[in-house]
Amino acid sequence: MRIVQLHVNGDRRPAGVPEHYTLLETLRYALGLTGSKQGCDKGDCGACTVLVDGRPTLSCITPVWEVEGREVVTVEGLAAQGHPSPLQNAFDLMGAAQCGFCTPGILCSLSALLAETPAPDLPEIKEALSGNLCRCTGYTKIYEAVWAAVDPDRIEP
Amino acid sequence: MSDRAKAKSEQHLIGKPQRKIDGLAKSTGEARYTDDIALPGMLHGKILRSPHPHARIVSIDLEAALAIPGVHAAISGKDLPVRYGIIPWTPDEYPLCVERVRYIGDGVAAVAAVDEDTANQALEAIRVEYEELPAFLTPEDALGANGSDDAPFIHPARKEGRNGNVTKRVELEFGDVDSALAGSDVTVEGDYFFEGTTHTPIEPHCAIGQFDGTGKLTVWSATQVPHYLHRELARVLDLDPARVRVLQPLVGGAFGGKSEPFDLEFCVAKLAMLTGRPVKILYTREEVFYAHRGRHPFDMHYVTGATRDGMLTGVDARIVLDGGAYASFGLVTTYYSGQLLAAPYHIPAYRFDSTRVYTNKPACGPKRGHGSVQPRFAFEVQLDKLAEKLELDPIEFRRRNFMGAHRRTVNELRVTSNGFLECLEAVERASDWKEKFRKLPMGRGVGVAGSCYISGTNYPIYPNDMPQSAIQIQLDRSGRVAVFSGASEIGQGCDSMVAYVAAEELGVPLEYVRVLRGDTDFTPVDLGAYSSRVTFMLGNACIDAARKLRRKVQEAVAEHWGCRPAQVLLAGGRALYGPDTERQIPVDEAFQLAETRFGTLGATGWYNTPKDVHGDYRGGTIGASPAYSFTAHVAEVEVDEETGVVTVDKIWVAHDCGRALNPVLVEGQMEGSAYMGFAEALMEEHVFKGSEQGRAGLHNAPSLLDYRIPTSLDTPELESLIVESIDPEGPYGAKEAGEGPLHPSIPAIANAIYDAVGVRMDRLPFSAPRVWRALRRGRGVVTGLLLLAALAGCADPVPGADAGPARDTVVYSATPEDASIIRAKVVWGREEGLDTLAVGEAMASLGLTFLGTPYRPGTLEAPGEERVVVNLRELDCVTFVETVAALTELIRDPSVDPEADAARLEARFARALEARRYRGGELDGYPSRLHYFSEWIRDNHERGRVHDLTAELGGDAYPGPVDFMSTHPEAYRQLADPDVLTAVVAMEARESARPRFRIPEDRIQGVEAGIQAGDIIAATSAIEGLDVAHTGIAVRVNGRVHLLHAPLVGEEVQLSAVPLADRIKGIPGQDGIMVARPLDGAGVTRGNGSEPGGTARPTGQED
Repeated sequence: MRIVQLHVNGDRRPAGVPEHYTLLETLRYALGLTGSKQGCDKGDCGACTVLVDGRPTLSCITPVWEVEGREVVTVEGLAAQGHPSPLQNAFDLMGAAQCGFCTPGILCSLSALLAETPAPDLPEIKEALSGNLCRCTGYTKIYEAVWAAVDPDRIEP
Repeated sequence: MSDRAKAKSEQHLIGKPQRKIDGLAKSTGEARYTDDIALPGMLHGKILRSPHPHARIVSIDLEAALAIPGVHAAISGKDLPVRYGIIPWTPDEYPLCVERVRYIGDGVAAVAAVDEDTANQALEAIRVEYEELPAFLTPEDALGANGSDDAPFIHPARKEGRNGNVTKRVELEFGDVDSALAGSDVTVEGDYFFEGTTHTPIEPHCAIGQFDGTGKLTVWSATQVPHYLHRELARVLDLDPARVRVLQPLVGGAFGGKSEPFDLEFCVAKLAMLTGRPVKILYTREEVFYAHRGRHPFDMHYVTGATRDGMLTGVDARIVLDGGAYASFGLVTTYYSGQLLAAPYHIPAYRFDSTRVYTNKPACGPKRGHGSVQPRFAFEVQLDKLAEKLELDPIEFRRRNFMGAHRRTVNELRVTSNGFLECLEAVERASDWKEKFRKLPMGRGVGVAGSCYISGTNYPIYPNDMPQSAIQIQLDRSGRVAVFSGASEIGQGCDSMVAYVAAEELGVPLEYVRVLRGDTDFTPVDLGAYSSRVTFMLGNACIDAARKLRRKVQEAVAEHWGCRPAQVLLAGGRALYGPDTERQIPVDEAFQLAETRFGTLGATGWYNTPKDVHGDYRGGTIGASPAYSFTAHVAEVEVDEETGVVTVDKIWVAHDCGRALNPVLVEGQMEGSAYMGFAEALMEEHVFKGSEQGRAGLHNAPSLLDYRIPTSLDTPELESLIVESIDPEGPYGAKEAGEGPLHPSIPAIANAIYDAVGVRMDRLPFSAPRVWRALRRGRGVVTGLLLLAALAGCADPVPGADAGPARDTVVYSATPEDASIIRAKVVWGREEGLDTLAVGEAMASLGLTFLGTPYRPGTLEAPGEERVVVNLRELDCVTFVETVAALTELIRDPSVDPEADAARLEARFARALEARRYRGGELDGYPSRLHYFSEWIRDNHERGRVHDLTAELGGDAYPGPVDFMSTHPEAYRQLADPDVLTAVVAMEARESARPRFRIPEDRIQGVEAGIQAGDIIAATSAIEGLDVAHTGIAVRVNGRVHLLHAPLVGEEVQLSAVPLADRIKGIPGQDGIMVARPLDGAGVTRGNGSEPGGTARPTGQED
């Protein structure tokens, strides 16, 4: 066992975990933050993506000790005071989440994109999404959600 | 618009974009899936899986595992010895294997331990002793089995004398297909292969079991069928169904991959019962691939006819389904493979013959578009070929054959609404079809395809007359509407759909509706999320329940207002007086009036399908649906001729969903479907290693890195075009949208590739290597109509009857007489029992039947580009050997049906020829022909078709270049092409550097004892630069080896008058022999050829 000192979604969270635990295991099993998903446990699908110091990171292949002292943001940390972010809201309105299992990872990847590129074009969105597999949507509604988040006028009533 | 109508329309939810009721929860991480649940004291379970594709279980020793601290239970098949299966007539699975394992990955034991690491340790400690059995990895192998004790069938035959490896065979004929096809002005015949693919939901299967002190079992599972799971858990575990509860948390994608019970659900239940603690099992991603139940590989043969004016006449289909180790939904799949093709076109006569075969691989089952995506691919490509022959625009051709609405199909399915024409028009217009089809530059193209699909099935999986879907609604005096739904939310939005319906009917804001879901203890039965049934059935059930309550509210409010109930509207959170909508009360007050009048407000509603809307024949109910959806796609592609890479730029998807209850969700289904079809067309292959690759039956790529599903960068632009036909029986006119729009993607892409580069891709997926090979065969060098004209005379592509890489097209030339000779020889050979002899003996016997066949040189040198020339009427020395060897293969291949139609037989024969005549067994232009017979022997030797005996019989290595062709270029028309000359010179350089052996003429008699009847004899040439002068087949006459051959001198096939040794000595130009013994070989031939073409073999040979 090992005690790790984590900064997650603005909280300081110590956690006692087995030596080999990944960040994803720690989030899900030790901290109860089950928003980040395990789809493959090999870094292939992107469902476990979280932000570490603002960068999209595959938490299922990140040893937890690597992120000690760094800022970790999970999907649960994207909403401020219970208010969904414009991107989260747009995901609902535009039908970007069907089964929703890939959604937490995708929201983390896209949040990082929007932080750097406030009005991304399609190639930029595709590039940012390319590490996250979605099996439901064909990605189209996800692009539309990004644009709707950037420009709420695009959201239909 | 009247005030009343206006008030209504403004307040309608139906037909407008809405939030999903779980949309925000899914965007914030709040949504709970099965693996997100942790119960106090929960143990981790793991399943041990078979490393063998087929084996008897001799013993299982769990003791060492149980001795590990932290291991709480371990079980094997004997702890759960009850067979189950999603289809009640084919229960052939155990929760854990009892006596036999049937695929690599079959579960044999399970453990529960304090944590995952301990559970893994326990698995390693379990000792299983297996006795391996021969595995059947292809349908051909499985169909050829005899069920001996040494090589038993995968499952016992259900009737004595049957092949236990056959799950199901369905043969149905509607109308007189033979007459219809015979009377057609044009027919197209083709063979197609659809590779297996798998669902790949991002959420792996997961289940939790809990058993409480009262004897009640609770199972949480990521399933699409909680009701069927409930039934099977009770049956297999021998529990009272009333003491079993199945909870279905949100499901992270399914697509058909979670639509039957799986081993983990039984195991968590049993382990929880044994330990008294909750147990969770989460599949690894690898286990998800092995659990499979995905798209069956289909081998398909279609003949389709039409009249000169473009009306379909008849369709004849023959299909073999590669089913994997268990039946799963296979009985239904086998029917669907034929039944669902009968719309949207009017087909006057239709026949199909479908056989599902067990193989030692993970079981196939239903994947989005169950059983009908594969035949739709083949059929829509057939239509494209027919349209081309008829010189009709393929959209116009489809339009002409539209069956219409409110009709019965040829197999008597009742079709109600049908918006297929509108779909065709929508994609034609949106894609700018008329400006693109056959008009885009080389390398770019468009293709179209259509389809239909069911909106649910009229009969449940287990026979009963109870409702197929039901809803319970309870109203509260606060205005809240509680909906209890047993339907399976797998991301498609069915929980939201019932909320929209309830809000619409009861006039409350969407936020007033709560949906309590996924719990068999509290929700009425819904059969599950499969067969695209949910919106149609659950929507109708919800309307039924909501309207019962609405009438009560209207009645109470009407009484209060002193008006008629019908004058009371419920909309937008208010009850309104229709004639004067200024008069209104909030909906909660309206509910209070109703509660006062009627007591607590609750109602159930249900839906059952209409019966008797299908044919009265065995299987007629399967494929019968209350309504059918229709789809048309246009795909636009780019094909890189250098690399074979196909890029799909865009797919236009028009879908008749009846009515779009929420257009955002409908578009999401259309886009997701088209994406998944695109993925199957270009990328996905769920395939397994063969014995030649080391571990037979091992999954080729059980990871999300290697099993390639499209990323955002791979996926084409998708444009959804909703068509609303308003079905008379659907909820508000709605039909399905979740599966239909997948179908046309694949044939539309295939047809677009043809428009782009003129190659027909009849085998999936259209991967770069496959497209590249097709292009290299010289078929992609012409563009547009020029190309079509050139190809119009070609035979249609025919895949191999064999497994594996044999399914590409082969282009050959033959005459009707050749077909009759092939047929006659195969029949004769079988009657004579040639298939029971050694292959050489068979060849010698068969060869003798060609005595007297006229000699003719140069038959392979047809004008145009190289193609496989089939000519059994006139032979030279080499074509004689090749023809006899190829025919022998056909006689000995049990899958060859001599009664098959001519084109199929010819194509099969052409493939066998191609396998011998061309380097690597594959025609790739003139230089690929094995011109020098020494190379012919070596190349066929390397591929296991012959065994070169020359050195073993004491032959000498002899040096010297082979360059006769390039030093006599004037003798070969084809060498005028500098590229061909370069290739031939390179080949000669290669050949010159390789060792060749010959038995000198003076030693032939001494080695005769080592030569058997049927051995292929090549007489070596004394001419400089030439290796072989003559060829034939050894035959024994009075103890001596004679030569059966087609010589120039004598002008016909004959047997040498003198023994071979004497003959060679007597001919100055021949100085020895090579000997090659024919083998049955892999039986695998590669298909495909090219344009008409040809050339000469080296002149200077004797013949």
